[in-house]
Parts: sequence; structure tokens; C-alpha cells
Amino acid sequence: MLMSLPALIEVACSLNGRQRNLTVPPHRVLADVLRDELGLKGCKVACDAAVCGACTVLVDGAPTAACSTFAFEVNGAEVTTIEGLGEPAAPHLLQQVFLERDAFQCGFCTPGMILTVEALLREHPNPDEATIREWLSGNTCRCTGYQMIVEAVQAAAAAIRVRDAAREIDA
Amino acid sequence: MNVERVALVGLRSRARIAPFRLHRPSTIEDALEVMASAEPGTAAFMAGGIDLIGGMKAGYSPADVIHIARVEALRRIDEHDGTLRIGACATHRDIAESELIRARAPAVARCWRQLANPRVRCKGTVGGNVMARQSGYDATLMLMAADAKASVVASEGHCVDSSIAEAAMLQGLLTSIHVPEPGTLQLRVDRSLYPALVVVVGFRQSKDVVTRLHAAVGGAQCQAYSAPLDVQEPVTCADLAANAQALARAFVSRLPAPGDDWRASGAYRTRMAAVLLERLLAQEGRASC
Repeated sequence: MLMSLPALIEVACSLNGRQRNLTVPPHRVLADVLRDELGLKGCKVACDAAVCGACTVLVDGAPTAACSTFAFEVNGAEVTTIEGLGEPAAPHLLQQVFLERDAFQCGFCTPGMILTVEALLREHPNPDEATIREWLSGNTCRCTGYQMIVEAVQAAAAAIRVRDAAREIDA
Repeated sequence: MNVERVALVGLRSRARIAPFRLHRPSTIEDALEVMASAEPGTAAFMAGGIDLIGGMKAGYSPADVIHIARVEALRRIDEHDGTLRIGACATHRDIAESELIRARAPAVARCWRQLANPRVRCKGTVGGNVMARQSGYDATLMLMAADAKASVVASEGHCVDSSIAEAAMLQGLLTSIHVPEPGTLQLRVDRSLYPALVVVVGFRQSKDVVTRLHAAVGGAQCQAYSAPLDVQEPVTCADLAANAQALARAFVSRLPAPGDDWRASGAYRTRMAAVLLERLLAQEGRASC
């Protein structure tokens, strides 16, 4: 018989670009570790059922429901939360566009939305509206009606294309 | 956990997840060994874990969790003797993006690209979908309509091939899903009434002749049901479009009676199963002609 692992396990991962070594019980979900142990409150928990998308983080670039992922699952992975994307003094382009386009009201769903959009734009740099709506189908917003968010994503995609073209010219 | 938090936990919460012993095998043999050495009924395999964790939040408390998501042999996608083999721990995204599947079974790749949402596609696995025994899960229904089979390795080590529906009932480890003749397969899915009802039709086509038709229906309060449609083979696409209503009604007459819930009555589900199936058959008939 294989030996069972100890009650606490080591999890080594890259969190927002910084190597972290965590010691967690196997049954602890990632959302609780991020929020309660690391103070990363941008990972919201609402439905607690992997449905609403408020707890979305990126694991190796893939949008992941932190409420339904055990912390041990991210061992060896690269985890990005909203705090790793930008900060108030230097917001990420997506955060800036969401602000400029009023793409939120209460803001509770916004971290999950932005991280999902980050993953979307890496995969589809020039998404059409149907693709945007399909990607956002797993993120619930009870305030905006989504139209402003879709427009913000389109604006962000355009801004990224302009930025990348400028970088190419510079290079 | 303080008193205030306990009061907020309710009947379903991540705070209710009970401690367990974690095992992380790297081979199928090791995974089976752990399962065999556990008390019967007290261990659970975990791949993507979405349904397992959901169940644990509702009180399911396995003493041992065997994490198999990183067993490489369970993620393999290949083709053998004209049959597509998909490892049980392949994620929906793996399936949608597999070059082999896109080339050899484009209908499968296309349907898997539309499954659920990106979060579920990235983490959810085809084996987890089957083993969750949720009759409305469209991946399972699509596999049923595709005439797919499942390979399950029992704890004694012997392999059993079963239907998709039976696989979830077997004791053992689901290792792979087999889709026969992937190149001739077409799939049409109607999720417009999800989660109350999902209807899928699998077609095998050769030029403008349909050689095999298989439908699957499931959803909340609907027992997943799949069966071939009553057709005189071969059926031309024009015949399919002309006979869509009769074929759909004959199929639906064999459905186990769906139940009622707040979404819809059982009678409505039955009626709409016939309507959606007829629509899919007519669409395919017209498209193929």
C-alpha cells in the first residue's frame, strides 16, 4: 500500500510572479488560502459552486474557480490573482479600460471578469462579440447587464493591438 | 472556525469539506493500488474535481482522495484501429484543442469548444463528466450519441469495456473513452432549454446517405437516455428531413418519463424533447442535402 501523505502538505507555486512555499491541509480550497492566509481579498467568493466566476484566478494562464480548487492542485503552477495584474498606482491596461468604460458598478464580479478577459485576450487577441460573450458566460454580473463589459473588452483588445504594433515599430 | 462563521455555513459550503488523506499516484497501477487498499466506499478518485468538491461541500466525506489528474497515461489522446481513444483525465479543453481530434473528428472538437464555459473546459475532464452521473451533462450525452464506449479497469486489474451509461456504475477506474469511426461522425446539440433538457443527435454519414442515427436526451429530472433511431438504412438526407417528426416522436415515446420541478413539468420536457429532436434531424437533413 502507498503511504498516505501527511496531514499538512507543502505547496510550492509562483503567486503573482513571486515564488511561494505554502503549508496547507489537503482539504483547504485555494480561495480560502488566498483570502484568509495571504490576504488577497480580490479573490471573491459568492456562489461557492464554481458557477458565478467571482473567485476566478489564473492557474498557468487558465481561468480557474478558486472556490472549487484545492490548494494542493496548484503545486508547481503559476497563479495570478487580480492583485498580480496591476495596482492602484499602476493599473493593468484591462483595469484601466474597465475604469474608463464604467464596466462595473458594485465591482464584486470585476476581479473575476478581468482575469477571465486576460485569459481570453491571450487566446483570442481580436475576439468578436460572440466570443467575448461566450467567454464571459461563466462570470455573473448582477449590475451592469454586460454591455459595458463587452465594450470594455473590445476597447482593451483594440488598445493592446495598437500597443503591440507600436512596440513592433520601435523594435 | 468561530461561532459566527458556523452559523453562515448552512447546508452546503466549502467550510463543510471534511479532512481527508491525499494520495497523488503517478501511474494507473498506483492509483488502483491505493483504491484497493482503502476501506470499500471510503475513497474517491479526483481528476478536475469540480463535482467531487461540490459533493464534499454538501457533506460527502471520503477518507481518501486519490488525485489522478497528473497521471499522464490518463490524459493521452490517440487513435487505434480507427477508434479515437480519449484518456479519462483529458480536460474538455484538451479535447477541443487536440490536433488529432480536430483532424479526425472535427464534430467532436467543435462540440467540445462550446461546452459549458472556459473555466469548466480548462479544469473539467471527460471522465469526471461521465462519473458525475449528472443526466444533464452534455459531454456525457454527446458521447452517448456518438456510440462511444468506456474502458474501466477494476481493482483486480482486468479491463471492462462498457457503455457510457454503465461506466459510472462500475467499481474501478475509468481510464479512457473510445469513439468509433470518428471521421464519419456528425453531432448536433440543442442546449436551448439547459438545464431542464439537453438533446443530442449523432449521425454517421457517407456522402448524402445517413448510415446510423443515435440520439441522447437528458437534463434535470430526466434520466439520461440514448438509443438508435428507428430508420430503415440507408436513409437519404432528404428522407431524414421529411421524416424528422415521425422519427422524433417514435424516439421520445420510449423515453423514461421525466419528473416535474420548478423549471418545467415532465410533460413539457417530453413534448420539448420531441420538438428539439425533430428540429435537429430536420436541420441535419437539410444541411446534408
